[in-house]
Amino acid sequence: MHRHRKLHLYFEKERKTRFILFGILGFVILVAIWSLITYTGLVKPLFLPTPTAVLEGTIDLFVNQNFMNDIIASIYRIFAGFVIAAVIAIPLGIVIGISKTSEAFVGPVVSFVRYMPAAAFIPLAILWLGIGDVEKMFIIFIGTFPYLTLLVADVVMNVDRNHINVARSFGAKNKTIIKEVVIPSSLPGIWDSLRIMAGIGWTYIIVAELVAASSGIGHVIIEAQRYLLTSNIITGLIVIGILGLITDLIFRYSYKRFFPYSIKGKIL
Amino acid sequence: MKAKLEVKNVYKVFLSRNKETPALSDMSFSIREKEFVSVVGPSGCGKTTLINLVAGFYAPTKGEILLNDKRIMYPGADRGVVFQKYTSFPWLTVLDNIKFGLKIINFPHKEREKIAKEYVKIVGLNGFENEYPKNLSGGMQQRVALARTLATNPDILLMDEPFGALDTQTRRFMQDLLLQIWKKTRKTILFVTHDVDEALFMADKVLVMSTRPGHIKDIVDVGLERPRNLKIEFSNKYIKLKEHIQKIITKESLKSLNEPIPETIKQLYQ
Ligand SMILES: Nc1ncnc2c1ncn2[C@@H]1O[C@H](COP(=O)(O)OP(=O)(O)OP(=O)(O)O)[C@@H](O)[C@H]1O
Ligand SMILES: [Mg+2]
Repeated sequence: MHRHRKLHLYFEKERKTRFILFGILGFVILVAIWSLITYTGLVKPLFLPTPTAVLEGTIDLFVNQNFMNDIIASIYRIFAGFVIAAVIAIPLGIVIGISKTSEAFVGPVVSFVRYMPAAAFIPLAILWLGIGDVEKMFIIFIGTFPYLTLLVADVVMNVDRNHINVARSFGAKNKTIIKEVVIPSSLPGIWDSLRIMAGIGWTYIIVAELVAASSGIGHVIIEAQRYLLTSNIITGLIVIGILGLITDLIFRYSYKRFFPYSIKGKIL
Repeated sequence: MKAKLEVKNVYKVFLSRNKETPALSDMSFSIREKEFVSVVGPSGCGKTTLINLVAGFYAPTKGEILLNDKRIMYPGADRGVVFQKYTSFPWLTVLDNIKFGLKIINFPHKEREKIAKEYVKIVGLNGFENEYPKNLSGGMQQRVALARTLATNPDILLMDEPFGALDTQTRRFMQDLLLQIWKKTRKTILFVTHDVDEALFMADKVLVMSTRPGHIKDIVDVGLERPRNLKIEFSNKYIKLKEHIQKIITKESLKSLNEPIPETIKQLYQ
């Protein structure tokens, strides 16, 4: 028994190592292709600088141009905008998922807003909220809120009917069923919806910082575009990628901590 | 003896997308206190519908169902339901699953733990109290479901093919466990199954249903001695009863068959 466990742990570890190795390999290949087409001069530096150039540019950004402040500004905006979206979308999604009436009432409006591009809200947002952080958070909010609401509603609608029937069989009233079955049963799915939408939230940072921003990763990228500093654009993109990846990892890790009972996993 | 459960001229018609599906049609029977009654019938004849009606999940289209002479209107903890599907809550440990019903009926906090632990023992889940359902086999999941239902001490157990998804061996163990629990607690049990052997092995009385819309085709008094053991399945009496019930079910199944009657069945039962 003990030996088996050890063996099992060994394979589990190996699986993890392999997973990390493959993950790294993907990036290595990407950088290799990048090197191949830039160092050989196949692509002009204006369109795509070499890795070394980007690395030098990145160091310059951090050391001489306070890039860290831009990163923090962007994190703050995304975080605040997304938290507000989540705080409203989760209860709203639960309500839509539970009751037909509220779905009929709110559902179409949410779906309607969903199809409006977040960028189109910029003029309105500036008009309503000025050009400060709040306006940027609003864009993040508009970009994530409708989808998050619909994702949460969908999770709730998929609660196992049998579980609800068990509660009903003990004479549970609707309020109790929601509290004891619907919500606990939906939490893992809601957490996953948050993970997915937080990732998408990062893709809105450029849109949010497109106009009237004096800081932020998006601002750096737009400035770089103006002055043709291609290297800074790439740095910005890489940093956004890394931050998105970290967000995802935090959600994944906490998922495992919060929902140790979940059977969710890889199919193969 | 007095009737515990009475099903009186019950009809149930389902409406879906402007289509009417009659599921039960003029079904009547009654169960006495402490009786173990099995229900068998062809597939889709309305067995689950019957359980759901008694559970109070929905009302009959016509007719009435009485429990202790009182008309069933809503679901309630006086009836304990065990479903065919595995229904333990994945986010609760075995012990918390068993406490679930007690929580719903607002049982005093302190005693929940004690009662739940008692039922852990009764259904043989010692040592698994703190496991999550994902780590349990099908048989153990149904033990959890059984304990969760028993913990609130219902008046009658309603079981809808509770062992239908288990392998033969596990099913045998669970049948044995249920009979022991029944002997100890002397609960009234309404037990739906599609397995004639299971119906006979467990029950005092077997209700044989017609094809859909379901009603009672025959009521068979089993009268085999207890405690039951597998040997009775080879007794003459048992075989006679089994043949009798099987014939009715086969005949009923054929009524809703849209193909020519298979040759094997023709020779045996026509
Ligand atoms: N909620 C519902 N809405 C519409 N039709 C239903 C509903 N529940 C059951 N039915 C129909 O009623 C009939 C009887 O169904 P029921 O599930 O009671 O049969 P069953 O005997 O339990 O079947 P099985 O052998 O598959 O367990 C079926 O034709 C079914 O499609
Ligand atoms: Mg059924």
